[in-house]
Amino acid sequence: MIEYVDTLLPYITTILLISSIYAIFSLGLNLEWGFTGLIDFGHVAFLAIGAYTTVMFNMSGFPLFLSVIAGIVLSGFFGLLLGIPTLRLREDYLAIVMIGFSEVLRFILLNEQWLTRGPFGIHGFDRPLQDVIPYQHYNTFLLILYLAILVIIYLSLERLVRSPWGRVLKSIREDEAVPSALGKNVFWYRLQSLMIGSAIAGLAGAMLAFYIMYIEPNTFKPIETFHAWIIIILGGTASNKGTIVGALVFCTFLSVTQFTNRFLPFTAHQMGAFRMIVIGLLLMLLMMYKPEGIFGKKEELALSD
Amino acid sequence: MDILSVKDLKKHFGGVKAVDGCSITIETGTVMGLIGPNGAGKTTMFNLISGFERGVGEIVFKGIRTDNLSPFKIARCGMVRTFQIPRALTKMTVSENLMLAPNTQAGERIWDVWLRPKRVREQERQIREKSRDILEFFEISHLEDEYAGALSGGQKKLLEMARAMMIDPSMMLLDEPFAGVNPTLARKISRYICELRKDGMTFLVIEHDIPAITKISDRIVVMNEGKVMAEGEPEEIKRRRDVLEVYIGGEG
Amino acid sequence: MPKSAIPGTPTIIYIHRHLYNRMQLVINGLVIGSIIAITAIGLSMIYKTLNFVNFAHGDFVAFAAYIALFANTSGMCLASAFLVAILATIVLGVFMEKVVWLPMRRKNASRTTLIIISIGFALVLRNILVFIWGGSTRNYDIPVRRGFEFFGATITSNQVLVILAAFLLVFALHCLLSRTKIGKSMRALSDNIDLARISGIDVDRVILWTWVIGLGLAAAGGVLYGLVTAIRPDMGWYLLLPMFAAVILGGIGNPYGTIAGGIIIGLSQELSTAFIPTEYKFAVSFVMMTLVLLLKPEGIFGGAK
Repeated sequence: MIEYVDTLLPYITTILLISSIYAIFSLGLNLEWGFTGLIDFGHVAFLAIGAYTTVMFNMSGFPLFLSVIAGIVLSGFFGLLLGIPTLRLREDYLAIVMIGFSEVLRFILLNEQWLTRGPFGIHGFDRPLQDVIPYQHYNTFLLILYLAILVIIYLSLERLVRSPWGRVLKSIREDEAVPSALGKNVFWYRLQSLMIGSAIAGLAGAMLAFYIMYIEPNTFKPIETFHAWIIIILGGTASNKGTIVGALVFCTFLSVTQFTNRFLPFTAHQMGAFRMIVIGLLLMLLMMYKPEGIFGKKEELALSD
Repeated sequence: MDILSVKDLKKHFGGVKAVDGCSITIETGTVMGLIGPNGAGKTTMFNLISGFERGVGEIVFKGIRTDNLSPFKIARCGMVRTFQIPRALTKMTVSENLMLAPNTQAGERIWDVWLRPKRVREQERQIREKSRDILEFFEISHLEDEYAGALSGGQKKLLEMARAMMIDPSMMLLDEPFAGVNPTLARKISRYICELRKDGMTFLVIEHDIPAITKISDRIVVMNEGKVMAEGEPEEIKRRRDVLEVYIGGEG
Repeated sequence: MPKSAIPGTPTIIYIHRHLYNRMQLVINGLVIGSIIAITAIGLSMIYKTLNFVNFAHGDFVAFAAYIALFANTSGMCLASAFLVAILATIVLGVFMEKVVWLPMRRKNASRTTLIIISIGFALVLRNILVFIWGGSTRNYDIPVRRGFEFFGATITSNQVLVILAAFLLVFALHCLLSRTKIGKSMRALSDNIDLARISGIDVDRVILWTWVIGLGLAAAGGVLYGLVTAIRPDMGWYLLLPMFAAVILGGIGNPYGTIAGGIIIGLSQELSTAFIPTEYKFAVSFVMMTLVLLLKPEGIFGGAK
């Protein structure tokens, strides 16, 4: 029995760690889409900006805490930058621009080797409290830290969306003519939502970097954005609790399917493609038949005009 | 004193002249009716005045030029509009619909949500009280916690007016308040408008229900094909031959 | 003085010497521009008529290239493979319309729902290609022909074929839109869907034809694209951003604007390599698109919005 605990515990820790990172990443997207109706198809870009900024600041000598703050702020700033031209226009324009931006960003990360070491990636940066915590317990420490951060972010977001500010967001999501006619600056609210959502994604980026200890441009491919989309739809759009549960379910699913390799006669390449096909189908089926997800309330669903 | 003055307003869509050089002035504390056959340009006028569409011409509201302002800025100046087909926020309760409206809420600013929670709570309490008062005025207090999507058409119309009232407007633009509403409710709406007018509110009302509108209006403007065809007191307008022709010819 | 490529015209070469090196870029630009132009028309038409962005459009293009590849390497000549690919793509598109898009329209699904479904399908389609054919690049099984010189640059016969075919397809489209009944119905629908419905047009049938023609053109573009580049599973995905840029430049729903937009984007992409590293070709369409959205969102040729 004890031997199982030995192998099972690290495995569970790993799943929980990845889930908490994905949960925070997806909570940012949930604010943008679930609560404000913004189609952010490039969310992974902010993950990348957060990760790379944190790491690069740290490698240049800045203390870790400041580097993380820099990552969060810069991600939020890019959210602002991208929002300004697009949020006055139709929602599909934002989708296109965001996807374009995340790919262009990945290209820049790959090619500007003088800045980002390109495809070779960056490693050797500090991790929180790495001098204090002994190596064998580090992942456990990180898990506790990340769960604490998750709780803080969750509570903060819940507070925000239940506030009058959140109420304005809800009204914008459903029918922006109404809050406009009442005197709300719809554009500014959307911009705030995008900025906060992207800043949260930036935080998730820093957390990802500390966990995997090595970042390179292909860590931040578009598929990650769609992992987050599935998580928030699965968990119920506009439900922060559901997003967290969705992240756990999804990451468990991804982990468990690593083992199904033995049962399916696919090559490694095919396995990757198969997983993506399942994800794509899941996205389609969810949107077609159960767009409110597991935890969403049907009345809250602002997806049918 | 004129609360609203519109000079030579034009809005062209490609070849169509939706509004073709209209001028109107409205005195504070009066009800002005806006009538005309379908396609005359009434809703476009509304949209232009409330900022939902941009056109050419001068609009002055409470002494401020508003023809180039976004709708939310115009609303903040004190002008609120309702929509022809009521736009109730169906995913929110009636109470939430109303509490959304006021614009001086600290809780709508992120900093204040974090840094002044007590003030936010206090304001929420005040706003809830106010919403209850207004719901009472419109006699729909029992609907307070219903999702707005569950309301009937007539109730949604009242909701729109109640919501508009929450921002203490100086002027209300009502788009067909009597359309599709049963006679009892129509009488109530007339009564509400007259009571509010007594308190100094100004109204501009689009309507097709001629008897209803002539009863409550101080003045009436008739539009046809994008132009102001006639303007005057309800009794005058009712008697004018050309107005009758336009109506009988237009929609019977 | 450089030896004239075309005997008897030394003066011309001298005058156009600054184009000497640029000519190759212009040719390449026209080729890729033609491909972007024809494939983007379908995207534009569907965007206007169905009021949503089909994020899977690029992957239909890739699908067509792969079907042509399959047919060709199984023994068919390229011309037959071309037709087979177009047919297969149209069948797939009609299938999607009947099984997904029509039922969603009946349910009054919102624009954003459709967009998310389309991106799910994009993932599925692209990864089916990876699954079956793997991630490496392929080429058609056709004889390699010598290119010939043109003002100091080389133009291959494949490139000539692409430009000619694109030209013919555009001409055919023009005849269809202006002279046939279905073309007129399509234009009416795209102008004002409610008015069209009231005037007795069978909206669903016209929408079906929009898919058929739009995807047919996309498929043709895909097969032609395979003539001038290596066939990879993400070739369509990387064409998506330039296609969007062309659609936005030309004005949504304006097929002629889209064609012009495509050529402009293609030329800009290629000519830009004279000034910036080739890896950033992709970024050029992104920047141009964002600029248009900032300054004139209805497009340079102003379709409708």
